[in-house]
Amino acid sequence: MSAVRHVRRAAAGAAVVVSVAALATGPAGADRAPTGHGSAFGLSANGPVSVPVISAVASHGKPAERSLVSVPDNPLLSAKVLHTNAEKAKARASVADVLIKKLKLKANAVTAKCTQGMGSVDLVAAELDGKRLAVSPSPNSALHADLGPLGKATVTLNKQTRNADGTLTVTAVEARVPVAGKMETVTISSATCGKEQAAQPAPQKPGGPKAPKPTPVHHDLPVTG
Amino acid sequence: MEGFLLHATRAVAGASAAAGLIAVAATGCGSSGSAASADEPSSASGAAKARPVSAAQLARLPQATTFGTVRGAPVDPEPSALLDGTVLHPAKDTAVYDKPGGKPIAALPAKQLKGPTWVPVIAEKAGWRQVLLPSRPNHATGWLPGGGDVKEATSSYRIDVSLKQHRLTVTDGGRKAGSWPVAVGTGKNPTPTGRTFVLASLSPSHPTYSKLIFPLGTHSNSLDRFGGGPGTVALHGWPDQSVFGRDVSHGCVRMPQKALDTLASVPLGSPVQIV
Repeated sequence: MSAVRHVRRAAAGAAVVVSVAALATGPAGADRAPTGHGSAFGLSANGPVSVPVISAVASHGKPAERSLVSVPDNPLLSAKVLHTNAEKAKARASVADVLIKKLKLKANAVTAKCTQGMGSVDLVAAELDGKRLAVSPSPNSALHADLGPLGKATVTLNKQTRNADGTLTVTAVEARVPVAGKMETVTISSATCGKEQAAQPAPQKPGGPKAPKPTPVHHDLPVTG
Repeated sequence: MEGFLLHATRAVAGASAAAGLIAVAATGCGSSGSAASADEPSSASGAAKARPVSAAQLARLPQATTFGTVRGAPVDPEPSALLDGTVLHPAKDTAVYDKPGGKPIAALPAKQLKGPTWVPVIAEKAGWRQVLLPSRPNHATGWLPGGGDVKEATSSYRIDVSLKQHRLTVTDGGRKAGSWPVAVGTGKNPTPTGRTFVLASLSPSHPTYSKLIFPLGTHSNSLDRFGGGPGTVALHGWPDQSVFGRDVSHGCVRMPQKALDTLASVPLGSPVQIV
């Protein structure tokens, strides 16, 4: 609850903060995400090397879109052309020319899509340590890489997390890599969406007799043709 | 085609005034409670108690009919949300309130357009039911207290109208009962959107363009009156198939004649969703 409130206060000033908080915590149960929520971000890294959330968008009914052509220089990863968009119950994040040197992870394009609370991932020419990765990996596909003396890394493809408010977060690639003796978490292409509230039924009340078939009555009413 | 439409609406214009009088007369003779001051405070806590309304007071209230306007009526809070098919029929003319335990704002007649009044339930609170009203303004609602002479039933039917796709679909228990291309309102006189309901099933005395007409609980937002009527939007047949798929009407939804048989089975009060 407090995280969400914080996000709402901060929203006017910093769109990046909005997505960071919303995606990191998910709106609390009592303060549910609005119907048709959608948000996305291109990439982020948390750990010894900090790359802030890049190309974040959030939509609460209105379409939002963002594109960037590069990420800030850093020793961990590089990428070009980050495109994110979000609209009602829909979000998409795509990052091109991804390279995480330490992991030998590269891809021409990494895309996460979320539609009506359902997620999918597309990986174009993605490789981990020289091995080609599936174009459409199954949800939560975990891969492990031994980096020798540096330690072991874990790469999760198509990571799907159901949030407390019912929205789904799909992350195309999440890598946990040892850096300087600590774990670094790199997130590439993440999209979060809820279901458009198509059915919000009125009072579900089983029972009650079946409403009668009407008997047409002989009557005239001028209507709007 | 336009000339045909105008001719058709003029042909039935003479009867509308009579219909209005009938509706008003019917509402004026009922009573929904014992005499009490209209200023009597309501019991709004817990199970809210209905403020009694005398027959005389009821007669002075605006009529919740397709001819009436209920000012101050709560607006449907979620016009795009679906309804579950719960429908109510007041066995006698009944006061409608602005909130549970609130003040009376309208009289819902037991009959209108010569048929029984059935209205859909959109919410419940403290034993009260909030219903859509057939009167202006569009999306007007009111609250009915529990108990009393109100009959409850469930309609398994639902009608969806897509203005963009020019299509009307009827489902029964979630299964498609029929789907047809339709004609809808023009840009100047659009078919109003949101949830409404089947108000009546009418067999016109001169079925110029449709053997059955199904007035809805909604009105044109651009035409205060039309053809002598109150601008009620309806579903009805249309003989010229060339109109289907087009924006040509003054707000009504024109359907192929073959759709009328399916529509004839849809209970009054059944939800209609126009998007």
